[in-house]
Amino acid sequence: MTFRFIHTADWQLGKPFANFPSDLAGELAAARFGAIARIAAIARSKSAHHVVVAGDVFDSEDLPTTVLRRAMERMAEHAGVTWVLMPGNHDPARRGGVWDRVQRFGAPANVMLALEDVPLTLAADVVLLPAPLTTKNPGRDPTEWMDHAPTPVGATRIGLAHGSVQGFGSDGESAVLIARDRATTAALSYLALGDWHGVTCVGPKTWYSGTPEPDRFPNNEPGFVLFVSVDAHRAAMVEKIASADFTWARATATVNSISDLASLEAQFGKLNAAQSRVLVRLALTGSLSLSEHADFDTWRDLWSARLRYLQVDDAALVIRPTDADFDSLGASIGASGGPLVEAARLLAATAADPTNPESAVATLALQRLFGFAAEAAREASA
Amino acid sequence: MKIDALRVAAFRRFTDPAAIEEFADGVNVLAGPNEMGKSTFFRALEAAFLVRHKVTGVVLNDMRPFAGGEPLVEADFTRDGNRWRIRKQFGRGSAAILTDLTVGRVVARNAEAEDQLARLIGRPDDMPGPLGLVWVRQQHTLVRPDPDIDPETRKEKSRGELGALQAAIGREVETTAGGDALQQVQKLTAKALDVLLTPTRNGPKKNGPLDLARRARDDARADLDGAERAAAGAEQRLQAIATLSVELARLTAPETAAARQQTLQRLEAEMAAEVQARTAFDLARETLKSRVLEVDSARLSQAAARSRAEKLTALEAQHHVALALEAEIAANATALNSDAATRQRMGSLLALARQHDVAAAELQGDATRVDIVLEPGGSGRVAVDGTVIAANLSREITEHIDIAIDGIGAIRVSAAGADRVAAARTTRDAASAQIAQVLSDMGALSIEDAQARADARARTAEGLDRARAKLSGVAPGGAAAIAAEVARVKADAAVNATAAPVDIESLAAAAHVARERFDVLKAALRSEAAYRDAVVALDTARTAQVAAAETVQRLTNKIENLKSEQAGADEDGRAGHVDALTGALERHDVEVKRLEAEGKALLLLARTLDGIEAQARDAFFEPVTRRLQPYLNDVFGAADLGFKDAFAISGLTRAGQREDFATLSDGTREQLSVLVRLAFAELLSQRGVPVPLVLDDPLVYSDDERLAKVCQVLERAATQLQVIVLTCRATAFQTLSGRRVSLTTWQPDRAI
Repeated sequence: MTFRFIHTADWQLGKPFANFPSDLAGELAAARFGAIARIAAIARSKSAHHVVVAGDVFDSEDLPTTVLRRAMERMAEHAGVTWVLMPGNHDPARRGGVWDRVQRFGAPANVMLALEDVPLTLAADVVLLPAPLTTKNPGRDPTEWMDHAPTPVGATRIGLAHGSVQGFGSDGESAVLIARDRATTAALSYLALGDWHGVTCVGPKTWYSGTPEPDRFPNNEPGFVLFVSVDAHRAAMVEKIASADFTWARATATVNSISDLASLEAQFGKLNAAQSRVLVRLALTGSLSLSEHADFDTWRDLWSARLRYLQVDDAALVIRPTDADFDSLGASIGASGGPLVEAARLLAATAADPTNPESAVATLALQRLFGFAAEAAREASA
Repeated sequence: MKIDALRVAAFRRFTDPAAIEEFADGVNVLAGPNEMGKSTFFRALEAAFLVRHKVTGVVLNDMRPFAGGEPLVEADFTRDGNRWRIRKQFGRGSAAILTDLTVGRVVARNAEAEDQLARLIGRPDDMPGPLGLVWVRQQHTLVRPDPDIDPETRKEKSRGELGALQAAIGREVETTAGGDALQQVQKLTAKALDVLLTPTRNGPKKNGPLDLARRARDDARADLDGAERAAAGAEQRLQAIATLSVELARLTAPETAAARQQTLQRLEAEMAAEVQARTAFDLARETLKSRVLEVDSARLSQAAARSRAEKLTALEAQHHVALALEAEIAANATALNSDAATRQRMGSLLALARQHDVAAAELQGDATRVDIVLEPGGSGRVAVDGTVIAANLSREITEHIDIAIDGIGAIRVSAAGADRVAAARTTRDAASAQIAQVLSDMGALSIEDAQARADARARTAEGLDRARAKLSGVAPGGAAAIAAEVARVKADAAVNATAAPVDIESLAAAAHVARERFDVLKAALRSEAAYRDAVVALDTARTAQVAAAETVQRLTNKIENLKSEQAGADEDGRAGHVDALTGALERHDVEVKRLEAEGKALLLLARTLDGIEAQARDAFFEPVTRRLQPYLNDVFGAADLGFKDAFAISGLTRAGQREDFATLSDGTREQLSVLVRLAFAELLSQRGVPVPLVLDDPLVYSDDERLAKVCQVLERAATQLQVIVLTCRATAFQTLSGRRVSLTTWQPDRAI
C-alpha cells in the first residue's frame, strides 16, 4: 500500500528579518506563515493527508506564545491534513522550551508532536521514526536509535531528522551529524531531513526538502516542498513542488557603461515571478563615469521601485570621472576651467589612488561636488 | 554711465526744488558750506538709481522733508551715447518714469522703468549693483565693498556690490572664472555640513541626522544588549531546567530512595540496640554503686554503736567523780561559813595587838623613876598614892605620883609627858578592849589561839578551792550536765537499738553479684569511639535523608520557578527580539557609517574647495591690485595692499613693513578707501560697466600733501571715469581741476 505525504522543513516561523526595512520584514514574516496554507493546498491537490516537518518549525525558542498559538491555529484550519512537527536546532525540545509551551496550551487535534525517540504510527503499517533534537547541539547522531527501533513486521519505516549529513555539504546550521547511510542501516523507506535550506537529494531514499519559503539570498534551491510516495517494497518517489511566495535572487554584474545594466534587466525578467514578489541582492563591479553613475542612481531608484527589494553592493564599483564629466562640470557653471574643475580633478586623483586612505571618501566628495555644482547651476538659472 | 543732471524736490532739506545741471565727463566738484545739502544730493542720487519708487516706511520717511511733502527725484544720464532721464516720485502717487531723451519719449513707467534702468546701469540682477561700490558716503570709509545691504529691506543681499565686483573680475580673469560657482558650492557644502556637524565641525550637530543616527544606534545596541541578556537568561534557565530535572530524577529514582532508606533503617536498628545495651549497663552501674553504699553504710552504723557505748561508760565515771567533788565542795563551804576565824578578823586582831603594843611601849619608854627609901622608922608613915608603903619603893612614873608622908605633907611628882602618856594609855586600853572583843567573836582565848583557828580556816578554804577547780576540770557544766549527756547518749543508743539489725555479710554478697553483672555488661558494650562513629553515621544518614527530601523539594521549587520565569519571559518575548534588534543595530550602524562617510566626504570637499580658493584668491585680486598699484605708488610711494575675503583690505605694506588695516590712521584708511574704489570703478568701467565715482565729502582726515596726491590720482583717473566730488572744503580741493558745479533752482514739470 502506497503512503503519500509531504516532506517539508525549516519553516522558521517568527523569523524577524530585521535587517530589512520594517514593512518588508513584516511581509516576509507573513509569507512564512502563509506557507502553511500553501503547503496544505499542495497536500490536498496531491491527496496527501500527512505533512511531516523535519525540524525548525519555529525560528527560536524565545518567541512569544502568541506566535506559537498562531502557528497551531493556522495548521488547525486545514483539518484534512495531519501535521507532524519535530523540533530542530532552532526549536529543540527542552523542558520549559517552545514545545513545552505548545503542550501547555495544547496542540490542535490534527497536529502530532514528535518530541521523543518514539515510533509514531501514521497509517496502517506506516511508522514514522522521528529524531527530535532536545538541545541545540546534542553532539551525537540522533538517528542512531532508528537502527534498532522495533516496528511491526512489514511496516513501512520513514525516518525524520534534522541536521547535517556526514560528509555532505558543510553549510548546514547545526553541528548535528547524521550518518549518511542511515536510511539503509535503519531499513528506512525514506529519510526526511531538515536543516539544509535548499532541496537536496543525498541519496535515493534520503532528501532535504529545504525551506518552503526562502529566507535569504540563496546559493542553493529554496522554496519547495517534496511530495513523497513510499511503500515497503519500492523505492520512494519524490516530486519537487514550488511553494514560495517571494523569489530571492542573487545577481552579480560588471558594469562599465550604463548599457551593461540592460543585461541585468534581462536576468530579472527570467526570474519567472511577478517583479513585486522578487528580492534581489546585486553585487556590482566595474567602473562608471560620474555622469553614468548618476544614471545608474536613477536606474537603481527605478528598479528599487519595480522589485520588492533591491539591495546593491556597489563597494567594488569604481567611479572614475572622465574629461566629459569635467567638461560638463565646467559647462554647468559657464566656464570650461575654474576652481571647481580644479577641485574635482584633485578629488578624482585621490579617489583613483587605491593606496590613499581617503580614496573612498574622495569618491563620495567628488559626487557631492558634482551634485552641488549642478544645484548651484540650477539656482543660477532659476 | 555718466550722470548729467540731478534734480530734487521735497527731498529732505530741499523743500523747494533744486538741481545740479550739467555734470561733465571727468571731475565735477560741488563745493559749498556745511548744511548746503551736498549729502542730501548724494542721497538723492541713491534714490534715483537704487531705491524703488514704491518704497515705504523708514526709507521713505528718511527722504521726506521736515515740512512734509512727497519726495521727487530726477536724474539725467548717458549710457553708450544715449541720453536718459529717470524720474521717481516717492510716497503718495509714487511713480517711476524712464524717458529716452535722445528721442524725447517715455519708454517705461514704474516697475518696468526700474527694470530697464537696472539694465542700463549695468546691474541686471539686482538693485544696488556696482553703483554703491564706488559711491563713497560722507566719512564712510571703505572697509570692504559696502555691505550689500538692500536700502529698502535693510537686509544683506545675496548678490550685490560684491557680486558685481566679482563678476567683473571674473570676466577679466580666466583662471578665476567660476569663483562665484566655487562660493556657491562652498556654501552648499557648508550648508550640508551644518546639517550634520557642529559649526566647529568637531562633532555631530545635536539632533542632526548623524547625532540622531548615532543615538538610535546606541539605543539599538542597548536594546540588543538587553535582549541578548534576556536570551542568555532564557538559555540559562532552559539549561538549568534540564540539569535540575536530571538531578531531580536521580534523587527521586525509586532505587536510590530505597537504598537510602535501608541504610538509615539498619543504622537506626543498630543504634537502638546499642542504646538498650547502654541503658542496661547504666542500670547495673547504678545497682553496683547502691550495693557498695549499703555495705559501707552498715559498717559505719556498727562502729557508731560501739563508740556510743564507750562514751557512756566514760560519762558515767565522770559523773561519779563530779558528784563526789560537789559533796566535798558543799562540806567545805559549810565549814567555812560556820568558822568565825576569818582572815579579816584575824587581821583586825593582829592590828589591834600591834596598836596595843605600840601604846604600851610608849607608856614604858618616858617614865620618871621615883625611888623611895624609907628610913627605919619611916615605915608606915609614907603612903604612896594613898597606899602606905612599908618598905622602900621604886617606881617609874609616867604621869605623876602622889607621895604622902604622914605628918609631913604630900608630895606629887609629875612626869614630864604626862598628857601623851595619858593618850597612850587610853589607846592601849581601847585596844585591849577591842582585842578582847575580837577574841571573843572568834571564840579564841588568846591571840595565839585565834591565830591557830585562823590558820585552820584558811586550810579549809584552800581545800574548797581545790575541789572546785577539779570539778570544773571534770565537769564544767556540773554533774547535772554530764547526767543529761548520759541521758542523751542512752536515748540515742536506744533509738539505734530499735533499727533492724544489719547483716553486713549478705549485703557484701549482693554487692559482689552487682559487680559481676556490671563487668559482664561493660564488656559487652562497643568502644566509645565505635559508639561515636555509629552516632555520626546515623546522624549523617538521617541528615542525608532530610537533605534529600529538602533537595527534592528545592529542586522541584526551583524548576517550577524557572519554568514560570521562563513562561513570563516567553510572554514578554524580549529574548526573541535578539535577531530583530541585531538587524536593527546593523541598519542603524549602516546609517551611522553612511552619515559619517558623508561628513568625511563633505569635510574633504570643503577642505579641497578652501585650498583651491586660497590659491585662486591671489589671482582673483590681481585685476584690482594691478589697477590699484600705480595709485598706491603715487600716494604712498612703494606700497602693496593686501586683501582678505570679500575684498576687505587686510593691510598695507610699505617699505617692507606690513601694517594691519585697523592700525592705520584714519587719513590713510580714508585715502586707501578712495583709491580702492577708484580701482574698482576703473575695473568695472573697463569690464563694460562704466560707473561714476561719487565721493561725498571725502578725505577729511587727509593732510594737504596727501590730499594733493589723491587729487592728482583722481584727475588722472578722470580721463576714463566720471568723478563727482561733493565737498565743503572748497579750498582743499582747489587744486583739483575739473568742472565746478553749483545748485540751481528747478521747476519740475507736472508731466509725470
